[in-house]
Amino acid sequence: MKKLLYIAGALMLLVPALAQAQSLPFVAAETDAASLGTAGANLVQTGSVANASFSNAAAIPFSEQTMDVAAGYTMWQPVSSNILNVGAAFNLKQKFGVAVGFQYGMNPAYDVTNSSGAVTGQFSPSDMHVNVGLAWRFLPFLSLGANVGYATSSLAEGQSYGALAADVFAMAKFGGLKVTAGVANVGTTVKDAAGNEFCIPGSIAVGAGYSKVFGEKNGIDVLVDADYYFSGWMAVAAGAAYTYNDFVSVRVGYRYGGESPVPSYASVGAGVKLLGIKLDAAYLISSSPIGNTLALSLGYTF
Amino acid sequence: MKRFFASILIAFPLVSCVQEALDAPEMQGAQTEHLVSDGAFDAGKCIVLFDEEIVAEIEAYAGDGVPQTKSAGLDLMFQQLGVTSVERLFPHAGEFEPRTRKEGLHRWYVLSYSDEVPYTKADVGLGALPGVELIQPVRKIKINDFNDLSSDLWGLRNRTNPGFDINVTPVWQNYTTGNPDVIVAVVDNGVDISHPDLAANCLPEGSHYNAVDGTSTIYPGDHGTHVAGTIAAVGNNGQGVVGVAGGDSAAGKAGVKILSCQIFKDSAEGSVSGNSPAAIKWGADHGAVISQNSWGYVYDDNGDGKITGEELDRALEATVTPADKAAIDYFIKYAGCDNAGNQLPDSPMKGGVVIFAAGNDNIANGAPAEYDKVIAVGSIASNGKKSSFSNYGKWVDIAAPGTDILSTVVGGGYASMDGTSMACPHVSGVAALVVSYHGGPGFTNDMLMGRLLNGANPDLVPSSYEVGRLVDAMGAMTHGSSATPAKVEDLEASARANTMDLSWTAVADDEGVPAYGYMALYGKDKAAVAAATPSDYKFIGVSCAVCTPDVEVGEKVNFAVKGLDFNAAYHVKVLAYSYGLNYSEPSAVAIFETSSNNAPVIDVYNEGSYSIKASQTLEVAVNVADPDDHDFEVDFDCEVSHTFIPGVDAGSYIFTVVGKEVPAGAYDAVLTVTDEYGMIGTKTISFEVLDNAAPVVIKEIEDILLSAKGKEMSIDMTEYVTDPDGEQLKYEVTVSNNKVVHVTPRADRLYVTALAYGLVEVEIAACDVRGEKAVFKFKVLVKDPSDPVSVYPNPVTDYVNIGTLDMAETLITITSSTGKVMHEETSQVSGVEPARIDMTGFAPGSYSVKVSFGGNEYKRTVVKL
Repeated sequence: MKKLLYIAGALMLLVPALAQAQSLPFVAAETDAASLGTAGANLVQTGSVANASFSNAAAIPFSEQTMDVAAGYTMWQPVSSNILNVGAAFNLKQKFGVAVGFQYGMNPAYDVTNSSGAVTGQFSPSDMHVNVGLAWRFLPFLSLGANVGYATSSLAEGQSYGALAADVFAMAKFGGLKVTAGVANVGTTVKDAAGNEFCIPGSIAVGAGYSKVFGEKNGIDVLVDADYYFSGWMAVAAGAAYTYNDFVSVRVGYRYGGESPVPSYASVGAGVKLLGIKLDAAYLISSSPIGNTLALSLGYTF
Repeated sequence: MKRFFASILIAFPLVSCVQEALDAPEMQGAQTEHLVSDGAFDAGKCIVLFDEEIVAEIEAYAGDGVPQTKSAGLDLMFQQLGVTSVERLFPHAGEFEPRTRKEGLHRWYVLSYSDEVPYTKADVGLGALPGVELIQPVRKIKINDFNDLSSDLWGLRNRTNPGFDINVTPVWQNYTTGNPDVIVAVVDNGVDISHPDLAANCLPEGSHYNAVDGTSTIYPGDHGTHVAGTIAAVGNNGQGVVGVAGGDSAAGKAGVKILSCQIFKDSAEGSVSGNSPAAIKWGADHGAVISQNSWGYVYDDNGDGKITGEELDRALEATVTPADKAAIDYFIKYAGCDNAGNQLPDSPMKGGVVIFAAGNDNIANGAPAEYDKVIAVGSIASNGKKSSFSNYGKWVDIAAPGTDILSTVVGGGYASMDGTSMACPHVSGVAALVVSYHGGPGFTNDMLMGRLLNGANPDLVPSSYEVGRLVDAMGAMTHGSSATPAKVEDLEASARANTMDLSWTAVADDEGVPAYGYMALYGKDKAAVAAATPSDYKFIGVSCAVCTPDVEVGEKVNFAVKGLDFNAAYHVKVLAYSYGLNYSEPSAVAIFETSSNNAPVIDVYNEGSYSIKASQTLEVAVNVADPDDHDFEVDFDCEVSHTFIPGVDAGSYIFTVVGKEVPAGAYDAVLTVTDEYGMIGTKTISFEVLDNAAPVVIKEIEDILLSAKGKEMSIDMTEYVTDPDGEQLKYEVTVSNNKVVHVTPRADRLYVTALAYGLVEVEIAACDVRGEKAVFKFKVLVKDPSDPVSVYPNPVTDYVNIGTLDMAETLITITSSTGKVMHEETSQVSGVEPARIDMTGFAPGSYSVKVSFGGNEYKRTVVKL
C-alpha cells in the first residue's frame, strides 16, 4: 500500500502541469443506476459488481455473488446524451475476479459550420469506452485489482480522439468495514488539432464503506469515495443504501464535484431484486447542467 | 483551294531498252524501243509506222475488221497477236489529207490486240517483218495535281513584287487584247466551252476534237479549262478572271479563240489518255496557229509518286517520241497553211508555234518540251524565284508565272493551281496577242518565235535558275519596232532648294502608243546638256534621271529629281523613249536655279502649354514636313514615359503622355528633325502633370444584415467617398468568404448579393489612377431569421463565434459533456458582432453551449478538435 501511495504521490506532482482541461471526461463519470443512486460512491461496493471494470475490480472477490451482469441506459444531461452500458463480473471462489464493460454514448447532432457561419452539414458525435478488469484476493482480507480500457470520442467526419486508461486498486475488508485505495484513469494523453496535449481525468482514489444487517432483513450500506485529481481538483461522494430482505433497496447520495469533470449533485435511487434479477434506477438532482440525469439498469446475479 | 496538277504527263519513257539496228534493209533507219517496265503502258496496244506498200494494202482492203494484206507474215502476226483493229494514228484530214500524206503521217497506225499479249511479243514479231519501220508502245497518261489557296492574278500584274509578271497591261492599253482570228489549240483535257467567263472565246460546239474517242464531243476537265482561262478568259466583263488574250468585253472586242483538243478523259477507271499526236495535228488542220501543251511524259513507272533511281535516269535521258515529234513538226510546218505549205489568205500566220510546259519534276530535263523546235516554258513564283517544281536546263526557252495561278475550272468556277502547266498558257497567251496585233499575210511562226524569245525580259530572272528569261508581252509586241515617240515640246523646269521639278505633256509615237518612259538629262554646263545623248551623257559630265509615268497621252507629267547642288544654275532637257528604247528628239533645254536648303518645319497642333491631371492622357498631334521635300530623320527626347508614334499621314506623329504613368511635375519634350543635308528643325512641347489628391472618406459604411439567401442591395459609393481630382474611382473588393456574399462594383455603385448564410468581412478600396486609396471595412451578415443563434466555426480549433440576430446582452455558458462549466460570460452580442470565445485550452470533445438573451435560452453543441 505504501508503494502504491508513493507512486500516486509522484503522479500528483507530475501530471497537473500537463493541462488544466481534461480530455474524454466521461471516463470519470459513473453511469450505471446502482452506482448513481449513491452519488457514484461505489469503490467498495460489493453488492453490485457488474460494472466493476469501470470502478474497482478489487471489490469482486469480496462479493457474495459468483456472477453479476447488468445492462443500463442513462440519459445524461446537459445535452441529453443517450448512454448505453453493459457490464459483467465473475467471482471465482472469492479468490479471483474478472470483469468486462462496454459503454457507448450517442450525443445530439450539431450543425457543421464554416468560419463564416454557413452551415455545411451535420454530424452526430459519439463516445465509446471499453474496459476489462482482473482481481486477486491474495489474503483473506486483502485484494488487488486492475482495469485496463480504451476510450474514444468521434467528434467530426474523420476526426476521432482516443486514449488508453487504467485503474489499480488495493482493497481490504475487516468484518463490515471495507476500505480501498488506488489510482483511477491513468493513461495516455490526447492531442488537439493544434498539437496541445490533454490528459484524461486521472485521480488518486480512496474509498470506504460499512455494511451491517439488522434483524436479518434490514441491511444498511454506507459508502464514501474521494478522488484527488492530478489536475489538483478534489471530489468526494457519499451515499447510503437501505435494503429490506434483500429484495427492495433505496439509495441516497451526494457528490461534491468542485472543479472536477463531474459537478456536484444529489442523487436518489431505488432497486428491486427477485430470483437474482435486479432492476435499479437513479435520478440526479442538481443546479448544475447535469441535473435531471436519469439512469435505469437491469441485471442478473447468482 | 489549289486542287490541280502542274502538268499532264503522257507517259512514254525510254526505259532500260535496247536500240536494235535490224539487218532487214526495210528497217534501216528505224528505231525500235523496247519496253520492259510495266504499269505505265496501255496493254494490248502499240503504234506502228508502216511503209507505203503495206499502207497501200491496208487502205485497199475493203472488208470489215482487221485488214488482209499481201504480206503473209504480217497477216500471220496479226492473227498470232490477236489484233482486233488497225486504225490510223492521224485520222483522215479531209482537205488537208494531201499534206498529211506528204509528211507520211498516214503511215502511222495504232494496232489493238489482246491484253494478254505482252508488248515484247508484238515488238519482236512485228519488228522483224518487212514493211514495219517503227514500233512504239502507248504509254498511259496521268494527271498530277498541286493544290493550294490563292486568289490573285499576279501573273498578269504583280502588285506585291512589281515587275515579276508578263507585262501585259501596256499591251492591252496600247496594242490589243486579242483577235478572234487567232486560234489557240489547247491540247489538254477538255475545255469547259460553256464556262461563262470563257464561252465567248471558244470555238462553237462541234468544232473541237476529242482525241480520246475520236469525236467532236468534248468532256471538260479542270486542267484544260484552267489553261484555256489563262489564255482567253473574257476580259473586262466584270466577273471572274482575265485571260492574257481574252479581249475587252466592255469595249466589244473579242479575244482569241480556243480550240479544245482533248487528250484526257475521266472515266470510272480514272483518267484515260487519248491520241496526243492526232490532237496536235488536228489543231493545224483546223485553223490553230498556236499549239498549247501543258503535258509531258510520265517517268514514275512504279507509281509511287517519286522519280528515283532508274526512273530518274530515264527521265533525264528522255526525248520526244517519234509520233509526237512527227505531229509537232507537222503543226509547225502546216499550221495556217494550205497543202502546199503556203499561207492561207485568212490565216494570221504562216506556220505554227508549239509551246510546251517544261515539266514539274524539278529535274534537268523534260520531254517533249526538250525538243528544240518547241518553246519550252519554265515557271517562276510571284517573288521572282524559280518555282520549286519547275524542270530546268539550257533547253528551257522562256519563263512565266506558274505558282498560285487563278483561273477558270469546270462548272463556272475558279481555282488556283501550280505548275509549269500554268506558266505555259501565259506564254501561249502572249504569243496569241502578238499574232493578234502583228499577224496577217507574211507574218510567220519564226517572227513570232523571235518576238517571244528576244523580247523576253533579260534582267528579272537570273540565268542561274535555268528557266529562261521572263516572258514580256510588251517586249514581244515591240521587239524590233522602230516606232519613236514624239518630241516633248513644253518642258518646264523649276527648283525647290536642290530639288528639280519638271513637267511636260505626255507624248506618243506615230501609232498613238504612249512613250514608255522619259529621260531627263541635266547639268550645269548648258552646252554639254544640249549635246548630250542617251548613250554618251555620262561621258560629258551630264546627269540623267528616268521616269515611266502612268499617264495618258496629253496629260501632264510631273517629275522631281533630288540631290542637285544648292544655289546653282542648271540646264535640262527631256527625251521620250519607247519600250524598245527608241528615243525621241530632245526637248528644248530649260534653265533653272536651285536655292538654299530650308530647315524641316514642325507644326504642333493647338500649340501651347499643356496641363493634365494624373487621370488624363495628353495627346498632341505633330506634323513634320520638309519644304524642300528632303528625306529627314526625327529624334524625340522626353525624360518621362511617353509614346511618339507615326500617325496616319506621312510626317504626322502623335505625342502621348499617360498621366498616371508619369510623376507629377513639369516637363519638356524636345523634337528634333534633321534633313538629309543636316539642316535641323526643333520644337519643344512643354507639359505639366498635376499633383494627385487621394480619395477622401465621407463616412464609413455600416455593417449590413441580409435576412435571406438571394437578397440583394446596392451601395452608392458617392455617399461614402469622393476624389478631389474628380476622377472616376475604381473599387477593389475583398470578401472573406465569396461563397457567402458576392460584391460587384459597377461604376460608383456596389451590388451586394447574399449567397449563403454566414458572416463575412468586406473590404472596399476606392482607388484613383495612381493607386492611392480610401479603404472601407464592414461586415455583412446573412442570417436565417428562424435561427436566432449562430455558432461557428463548428467544429472549432481555436476561437468559436457565437452570434445572435440583434444586439442584446447575452449569457453564454459552455459545459463539457459531463456537465462541467468550462466558460461563462455575459456580453453584448449581435449577428455582426458575435461573442468570440477562446477554446484553445479546451480538450478535444463535444461541448454544450447555452445562449441566453431576451428571456430565452438556446442550446447548441460545439465540438473542439
